[in-house]
Amino acid sequence: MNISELEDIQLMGRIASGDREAFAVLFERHAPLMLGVLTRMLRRRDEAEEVLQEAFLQAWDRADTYSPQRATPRGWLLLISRSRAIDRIRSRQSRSRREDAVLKEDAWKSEVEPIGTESLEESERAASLHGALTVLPVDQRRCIELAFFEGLSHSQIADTLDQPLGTVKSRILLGMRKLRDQLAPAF
Amino acid sequence: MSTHEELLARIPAYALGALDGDELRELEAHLEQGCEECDRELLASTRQVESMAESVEPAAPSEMMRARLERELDKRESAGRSRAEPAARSTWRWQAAAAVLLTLAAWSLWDRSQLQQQVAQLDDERATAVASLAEVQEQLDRTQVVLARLARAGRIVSAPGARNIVLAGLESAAAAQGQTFVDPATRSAVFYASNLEPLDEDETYQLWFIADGTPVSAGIFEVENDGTATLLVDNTAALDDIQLWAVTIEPAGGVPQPTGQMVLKG
Repeated sequence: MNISELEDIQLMGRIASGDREAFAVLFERHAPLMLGVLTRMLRRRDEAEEVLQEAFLQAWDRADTYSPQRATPRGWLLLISRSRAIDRIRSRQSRSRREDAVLKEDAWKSEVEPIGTESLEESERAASLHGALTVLPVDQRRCIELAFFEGLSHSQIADTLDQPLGTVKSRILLGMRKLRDQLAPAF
Repeated sequence: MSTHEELLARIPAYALGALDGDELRELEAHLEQGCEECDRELLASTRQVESMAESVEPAAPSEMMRARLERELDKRESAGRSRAEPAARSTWRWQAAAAVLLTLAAWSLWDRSQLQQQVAQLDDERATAVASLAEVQEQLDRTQVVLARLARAGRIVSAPGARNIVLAGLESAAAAQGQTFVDPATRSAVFYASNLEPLDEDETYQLWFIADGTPVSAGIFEVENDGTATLLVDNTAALDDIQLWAVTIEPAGGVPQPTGQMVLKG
């Protein structure tokens, strides 16, 4: 059988044995989806490509730790790459807070929206893209989008939406369970 | 210390990336120990995340990124960190030749020191050949990247409906000029500038577009010795949503939002 016809799980087994050809097939199969998600999260193509490269190198180095009981290969790659993107977003946020005063200077004053509003607007725009999420009540959907696309943690979502932490946690849990019911036939 | 039910309920948020701090560490430690029920929950949750990811428009990785990834993998292999990788393709001929020499030497009872000398020489030749091959490969990668970029720039400029935006130099860089060609169909752009001053090592030029009132980084770029610069941009906003293009001087590596002096605007 041609290697490009192998299932993802079979490719993972070969990659764990150091097979570069299998790695290349997995990359071609899933890198565009991952890069789309990373670009959407980081909003910078160059940074998204850096994270994509780091994630695939991590996958190469740690392929022997992949467990099919916990995620499909694609799900595992997304977990790795999104986790790295989230690290960058959170470090960017703490740096951004430090630079807050500088950001509001001269030339951009008339052209820049107040900082903090872009996240919500982006999420609202994203909402129209995601058919699966439209089955959720707006409150649950917004919490899940802020986590998925903006890389926000429970507590950051609570601050952003000005809601109690417990409310945010339960909205995410309920929303994800409801989505699972919707998606169940596909699994 | 959380109960198993509490840990289980945290897994959907973990798959989304919404956990941090102690909650994250405690769950990861629990998963590390092995728990079938939590594994099942994680599998279902990561599948949901996959499904959400499918709603995002995919993006093709650039040739530059592919070349970088290949080089990193090469480095790992040459450093001997690959797991069960058989000998690199480029060196197997040398190793086979060394093995044949060894057999011949033993069979003809060659002098041991002579044999060692030949193997050492063979090793030197192999090292030189591998180094040359890596150098040629790197040059080839760079050339391919340049050719691919030129071809893309050509496609953008000649695309039907492509629009040209002129950027004028501001006071601090009055002689500088810039142009951005945008292909609205692919939302890609090519930016070209001239008469830009070279910057210190700790600074970089950064291109921005302002869409819906928000500045979005289009990337950082370096200036050639003749003061020109070119940058390819993917995933611009819809052309009608872009109110302005601008170039600022920022700290090396670029910044998520503009902070420095603006030198071009249009």
